[in-house]
Amino acid sequence: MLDLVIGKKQNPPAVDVLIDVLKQQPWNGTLYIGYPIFPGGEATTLTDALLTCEEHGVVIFDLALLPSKSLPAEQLAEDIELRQNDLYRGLHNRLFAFRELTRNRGRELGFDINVITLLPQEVAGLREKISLSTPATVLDDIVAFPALDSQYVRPLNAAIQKTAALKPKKKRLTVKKQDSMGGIIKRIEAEIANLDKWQKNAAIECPDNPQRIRGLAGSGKTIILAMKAAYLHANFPDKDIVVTFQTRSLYQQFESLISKFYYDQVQDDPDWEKLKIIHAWGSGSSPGVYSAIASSAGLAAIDFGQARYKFGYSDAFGGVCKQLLRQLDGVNFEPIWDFLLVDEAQDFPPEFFRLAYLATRSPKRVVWAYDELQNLGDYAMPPVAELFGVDANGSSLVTIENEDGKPKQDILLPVCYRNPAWTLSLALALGLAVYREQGPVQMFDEPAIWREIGFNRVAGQLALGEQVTLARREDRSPAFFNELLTPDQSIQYARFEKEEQQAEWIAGCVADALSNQELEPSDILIIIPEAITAEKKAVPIIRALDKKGISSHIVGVTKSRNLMFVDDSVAISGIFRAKGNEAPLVFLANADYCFSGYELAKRRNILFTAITRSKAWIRISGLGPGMDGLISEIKQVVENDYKLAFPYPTEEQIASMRRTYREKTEQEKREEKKEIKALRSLLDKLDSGELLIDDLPEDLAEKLRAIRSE
Amino acid sequence: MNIRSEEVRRAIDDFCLNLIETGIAIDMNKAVCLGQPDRKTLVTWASAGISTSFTDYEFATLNEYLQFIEARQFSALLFDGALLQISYTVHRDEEVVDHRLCWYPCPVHLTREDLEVAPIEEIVRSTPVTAMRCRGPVRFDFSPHQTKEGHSSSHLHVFQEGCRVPVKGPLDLYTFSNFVLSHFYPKPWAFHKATFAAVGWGGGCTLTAAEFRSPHLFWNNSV
Repeated sequence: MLDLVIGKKQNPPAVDVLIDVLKQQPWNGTLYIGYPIFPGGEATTLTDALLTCEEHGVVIFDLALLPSKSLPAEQLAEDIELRQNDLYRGLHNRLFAFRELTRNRGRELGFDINVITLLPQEVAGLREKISLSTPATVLDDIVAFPALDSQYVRPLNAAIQKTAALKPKKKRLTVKKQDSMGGIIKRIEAEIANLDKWQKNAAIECPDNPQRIRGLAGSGKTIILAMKAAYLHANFPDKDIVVTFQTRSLYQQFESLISKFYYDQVQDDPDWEKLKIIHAWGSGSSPGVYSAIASSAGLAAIDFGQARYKFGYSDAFGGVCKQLLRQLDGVNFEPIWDFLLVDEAQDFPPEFFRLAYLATRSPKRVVWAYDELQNLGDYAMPPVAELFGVDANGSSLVTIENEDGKPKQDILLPVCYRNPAWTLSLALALGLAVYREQGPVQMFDEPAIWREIGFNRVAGQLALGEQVTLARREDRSPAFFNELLTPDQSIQYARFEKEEQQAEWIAGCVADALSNQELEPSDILIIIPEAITAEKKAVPIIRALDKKGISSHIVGVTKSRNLMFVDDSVAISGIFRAKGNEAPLVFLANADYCFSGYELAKRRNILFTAITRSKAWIRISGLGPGMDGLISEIKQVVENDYKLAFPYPTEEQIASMRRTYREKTEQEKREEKKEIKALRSLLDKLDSGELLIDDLPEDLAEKLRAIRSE
Repeated sequence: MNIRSEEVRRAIDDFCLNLIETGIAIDMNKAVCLGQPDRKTLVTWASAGISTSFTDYEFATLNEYLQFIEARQFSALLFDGALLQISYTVHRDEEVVDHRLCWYPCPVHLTREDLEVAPIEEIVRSTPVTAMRCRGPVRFDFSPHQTKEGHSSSHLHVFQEGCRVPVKGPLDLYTFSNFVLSHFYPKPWAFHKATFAAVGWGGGCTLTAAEFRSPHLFWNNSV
């Protein structure tokens, strides 16, 4: 069956006809609609459709409309031929750059590129002059093309998916040994420089509706959004496109990626007046989505400084959005953008999405991307009706569904291309606490999601309440990891009594990596799970590294320190700033913090995020019994050969987990603090004799006696 | 008292690390030794560069504070947004002949949690004017080569550039840190006193007779 990737439909009826004819064909390959794009003089040339398949090679479809005035056949043939040649040359140039696709000592492309112009009906006198098809004949015309030589199949797919924009940034010229860590990561980085096809497809697919993109941490959503922005801008140069996010450091990432992707396709710089990268909020000095909407409606935007006084710091953004929504209710507000792409959607309050909906012109092309595991399940990411609101009749303003033959509205990214299969399995096992003695802390409430993120059932039943064994699908992790690494090399752990001992061990590993393994300091990231006290906890490690003459820095809080990695210095970071970044060698210190404790789901998510930061090697260390517990879980993962074998919780159990372990709201935390204080005071009184158990109401007294005797 | 530049450098680094470890500081710049003419060594924070003025802005203005933050002109950044700038010049690797020791409080109230949401610059710029705190930096300068009438060798700048309250003499790191921590962070100071108990390198008295006769800052370790 053909893969369908549906980008811009320049001539929708013709495209639909083509899709209809081809979608059922039993060929191995892909049909791209609206891709690739080539630079060309004044404007870019869009390929209406491109078919690449083993059975019939490479076929470009030109679906341009016939001119309304009837031209003589000669003239028409000339025009069409010109267009066909442009398309041919564009693709030929792109493919010819890959030696693996050439023959005859690299002097010519190894296969033909066929070009067909698809017209709605026959036009007299044309068929003799140029390559033409009609809906009735197109299938036969395609079938007549010979098969692709098998040696070109893989490289052809790679070439179409490859983007120069993702070339590895580090040249690593000093690496001498092939099997040192430096040598290994050099090869990994070169391979990862390709997008996998799911990412490329997700970037190209553009429905005329809202679109949701979900994936695990590390599935490359930022890259996909950047690519999508570049693609949209190339296709719709006169439309207003906005890319937005919460984490400030993403600004540079987006700017750099979008420029590169755009240039890659079109060989020009983007028009930043039409394609804007804007932080969600905005401040006095820099524009924001929220502030742009406010000012476009003639309303005053509130800065963070003021907002935190009014709403409290954690509800600040939600508060200002809510207020703006109320104000917009009475105002005639004209939408200001055509496309709005939202990264880190899980960090935004629903009110922001409603603003996004209002600010986008029909047909409301809002694209939002979020991590499926940062906040597991649907409850943290509200359902679409809650996000965007409902209309006068109570039906959701936005619905998300995937229709056959149409670009997908709901995309789930299956591959975590950054990590080897065993790393991802470990991250999930620990993040969900699959092998914890008391059972998991969180779980997908739809078992089917496991399959969608690339896990196969290898034993038992994948259903609520049933015992199941899951394993990562071979084809969902890039193959080169298996060739270059083993799980034992990749994953190591250690337990200590004291922080100083942990610091010594980490410093020792770092020193070895730098002196013997040909890694550089900026290849190393040390993560400390507790957000607010990360700096404090970093000090023993800084001292231990300093003793070995190794420079390190804490990723800090001033604007200029939004850069993670500094040459010649090892980065130490809290988990929040580590998000979205990655490094070949990652240490997670004080991992015992994540084993148990308040808001356990949040702590377990930290484990998942930290482990998936690693491009190749992860070192987990911690102190005391908490670390013992974690090691016990890790060992079970290893013993099960990185498969996840567990009884799938029932619906009630999942609901119960959610109540017990989830992240609490600020208000709830305050309430609980008060309650804990009261309890402490009560217990103190009981201890001191100021209050007797018998003085308590009978049911409470009984409960207390029962707890005491446990 | 004799002190080598390398010892000063290590003392500053250690002090800043201790500040972070006790949660009083959240960020720091390493201390470095920079060679100067005349056999002098400047021990200062790594991002200082060699300019002595550091700033285009006037003393105790918001812009000055913001510029220091953005250019990372500090030895340590404290949990409440205050800066510590610590630099000493050592002559012939024996004697301190210059210092600049500054505690620069943040013009707005902010908490560690606020910094998870927005950077300092933004918080400062967007706080309503009425919530600003009227206070400025406190800076101890020791510059015997600039001594003259009304300009004591060791003096304290507060509130305005021209204000130079005479001070007993050069402050070693311990005296300065004691002063700042005990007066401006009394609670953490009381809690973590043991971490900061360290011997400084002392310093003599440079006050003139005239300076003794009017209000000035003095301390006596031997009492």
